[in-house]
Amino acid sequence: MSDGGTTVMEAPMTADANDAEPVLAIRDLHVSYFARGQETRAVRGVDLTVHAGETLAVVGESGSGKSSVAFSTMRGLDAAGRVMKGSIRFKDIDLLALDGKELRKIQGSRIAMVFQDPQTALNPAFRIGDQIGEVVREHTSFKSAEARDRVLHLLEGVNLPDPAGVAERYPHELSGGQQQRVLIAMAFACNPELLIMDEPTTGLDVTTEAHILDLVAKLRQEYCSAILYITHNLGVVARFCDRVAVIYAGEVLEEGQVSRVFTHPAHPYTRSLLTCIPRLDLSKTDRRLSAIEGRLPNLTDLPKGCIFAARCEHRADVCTETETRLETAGDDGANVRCVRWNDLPNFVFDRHSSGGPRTAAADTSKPVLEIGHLKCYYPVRRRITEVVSGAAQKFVHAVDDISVRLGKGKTLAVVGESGCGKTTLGRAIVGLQTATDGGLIFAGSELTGLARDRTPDLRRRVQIIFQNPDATLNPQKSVGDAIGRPLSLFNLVPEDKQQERVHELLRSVSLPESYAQRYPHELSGGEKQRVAIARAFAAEPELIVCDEPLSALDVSVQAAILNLLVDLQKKSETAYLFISHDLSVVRYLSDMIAVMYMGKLAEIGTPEDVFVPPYHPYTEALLSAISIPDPLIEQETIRLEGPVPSPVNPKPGCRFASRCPRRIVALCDREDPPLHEFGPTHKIYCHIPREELERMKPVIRYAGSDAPVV
Amino acid sequence: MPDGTLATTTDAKPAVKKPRRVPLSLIIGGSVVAAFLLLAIIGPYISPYPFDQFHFKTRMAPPSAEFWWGTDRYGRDIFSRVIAGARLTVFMAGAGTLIGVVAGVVIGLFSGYIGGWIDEALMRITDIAMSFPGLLLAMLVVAALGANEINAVISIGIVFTPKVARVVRSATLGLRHVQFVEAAQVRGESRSFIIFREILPNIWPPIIVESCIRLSYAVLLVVSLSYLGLGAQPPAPDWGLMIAKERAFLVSGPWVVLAPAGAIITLIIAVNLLGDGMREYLAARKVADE
Repeated sequence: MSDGGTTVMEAPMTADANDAEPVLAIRDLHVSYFARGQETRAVRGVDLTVHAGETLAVVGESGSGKSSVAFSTMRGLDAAGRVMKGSIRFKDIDLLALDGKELRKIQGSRIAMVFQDPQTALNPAFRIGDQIGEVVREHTSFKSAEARDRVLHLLEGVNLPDPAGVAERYPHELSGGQQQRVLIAMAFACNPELLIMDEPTTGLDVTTEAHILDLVAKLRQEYCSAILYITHNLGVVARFCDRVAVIYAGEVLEEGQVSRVFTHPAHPYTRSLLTCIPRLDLSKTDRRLSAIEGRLPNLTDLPKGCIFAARCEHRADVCTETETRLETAGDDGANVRCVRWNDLPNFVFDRHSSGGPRTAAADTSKPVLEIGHLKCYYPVRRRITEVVSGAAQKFVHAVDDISVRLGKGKTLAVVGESGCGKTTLGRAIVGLQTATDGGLIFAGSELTGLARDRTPDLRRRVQIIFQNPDATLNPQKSVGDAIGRPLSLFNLVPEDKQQERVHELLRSVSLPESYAQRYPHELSGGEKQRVAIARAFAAEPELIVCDEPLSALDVSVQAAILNLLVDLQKKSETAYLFISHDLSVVRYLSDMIAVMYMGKLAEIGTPEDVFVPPYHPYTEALLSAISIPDPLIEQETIRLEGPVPSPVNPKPGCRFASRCPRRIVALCDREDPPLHEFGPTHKIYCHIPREELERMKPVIRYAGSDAPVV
Repeated sequence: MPDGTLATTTDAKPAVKKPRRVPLSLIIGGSVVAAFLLLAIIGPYISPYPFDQFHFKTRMAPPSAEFWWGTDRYGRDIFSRVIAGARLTVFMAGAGTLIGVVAGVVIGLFSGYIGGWIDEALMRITDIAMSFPGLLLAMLVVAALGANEINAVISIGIVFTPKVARVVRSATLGLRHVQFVEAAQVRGESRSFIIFREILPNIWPPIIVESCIRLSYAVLLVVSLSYLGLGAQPPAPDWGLMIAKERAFLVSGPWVVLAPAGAIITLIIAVNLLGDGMREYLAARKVADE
């Protein structure tokens, strides 16, 4: 097994390490938030232990209290939050008893932190070198020259090219991934004994995430630090952590070795979490995803008995009658908080097949959308000196000569890293941006210009679902008004029937009719996204552009929304252009996948084409970088090095050449890549000879075999 | 998702919200402003004397049971005049603010939403207008149009329009690329629908707060213009006018000046408290909603 899996297997925990004094010991922690006279009991009775050299993942969905645990440990709870009970010990120090001065002495030197958003964690007014240097000087006796050497050494340690150059730069001159590396360098500046990481890779591209995780794994070994890793991403946990605590609504429901929890999850919640993630061998044609229905319980008014009982598929009367406690399950020190864990059926992953590639037939349906040589260029704002000196206007080539077709009732997924132009493509289709050149043929008529310049009929037939559920609905409009507006705008339903139709649409997205009177702030994220879907379908469209509609949602909610999208598509024969960076979601949902890189198409084909060799080298790297929460799947390790080229007036040649591990020197930099066709549906744009592409090994395999996962 | 799950997806957040705490400044400011408003409406019915009635035998009388706040050099009852002046001052300030806010909101919304050279042109004009001190600009307008109450109100509206437009424009810019606005664009909604039905309802809080701030300045402008003889004309019982006409008697009969001055100060402080309280209240509401 390659990198991803080995860390799981060779967990450095031994019996000796277990007996030694833990680096961090959280005992019976209770945290409450007080607002408007109400107590929200966000964390209740959490016990966590992290030993030296060990990585403990605290994994949970939003509202689970995982960040409250992290903030309590850092003594960074906001004014409304309070530790009600329990202890947090770092080695022999009681963290909760320290005063501000003592705390500052420990934080940054013996305990370090890395947060989610590197942009806000770095001070934009100071150079990188000075910011790290300040940490070094504050906590060590280094003089300025020594401190400077230390800074360069640290920057080198996080694989930043040209450390001396980076030290001189300001935060805004670095990419998000580079900024996160700087923060990691800063965290390791004083050989911390404990590192707290709160969603450190959320918001980064998968390729960058893979790099960062590799890096932290290397540093962990070098410094033997204990790591408390807060995340919602089970794939990252499987790839990177030794032990995992699954936290839900403020309680740890299961805790144990990653290798055990992911193969033999004991708690029903852990099992549901693992099964609601679309697996890479699962397609919408196989079966529906299992979603966790319901909502988090109200933490101001706790239910009796098991906190998860209301949403549990294995619940029995005993669950709501008995108080739960963490019981030891199995012989490897795993704990589970479920009174029925011993009665539950054995857990088996529902796999699609024994392997063996499936083949898809060519799509013969009538195309609803044909994109021909589409180009979207945007002028770069010129400086006044450039205008005066008559410098040529430069353009960002956001979408550069893309041609794809999308059949009626089918799903075309567009994947790629941030900045690859996938969102621009979607916005050009719905008319939020204009195309520079090329054609968009929609059901026989041309889509040009902005939405307001198109005919009402065309506007009705092309709809969009946005990424952020919190911004997609007008906070001042009721759900009924939001869904009803397309009905009246496009004269779809006579006025007296409108309310009836709104109710029908609400039912079709599994929301009760009474929601028509509600306002967005009364809905959860998943419910808002359902309303947005109902609003898009209200127009009875033939094409919906889905711009990352799932990426802001928890995995359990994601599964339900994915099921909903599949069901609605079956019923209405609406085509989706699905923009996403999540390959497992795309694998499940789509009929065709287009991989974009810097405005260009790298590869296109059915999921069965794209997920098995031959690959475009970029697809190969993407597949290698995704984190899969399945210990029975192995991944090849391919990491992209090299600089990302600028999208402003890009140079000729293959756009991917600067980062491509399989680059053919001179050729790739000079000429645009030729097209290779494999079968009726699969196209790859690459200079690598056909035979060599065909010889590629599968990146994602079942453990112990060469069979690719599809 | 099967329909049987509907019951569990509801009611983690109750639809009925608990009443929010109202800031003290809002209560005090609001009630004083309301009292002045009430005075402006029913003043003539409760004042002890007509505001322009002369009492020749009791000229420059100090405060007494008969004349609560004394009389002026014509023997007119100061208390009655201050009450009558409330109507003039409150309504002039209110009307001037209303003109400024309405015009500013419309200009700010269009400028911020449409953008491009229209935005550029409108904002440069507001820059020019704002480069004049408020009182000076108002005086210029009144001097050009003629000195009376209506023109004073118009001049206040003109002074306020660019300031309100700036605030509204920046609030609009923040919403211009929000997804629900883009959703409306994709549906093909008209510009005025997007501006007035999608954006405007979401920027009421800054507009309300700005209006309160403007109102306190409007009171100041109204009385300043009258003081300079550019607003209400004698024998109108305007507070600014009263101070201007009676200022020579500040030493011999201070009540003549102190009464209207006190009224001005009280009203301005109250309006400011109202504005502060509103800001606090609306900010708290926003947090509570999220």
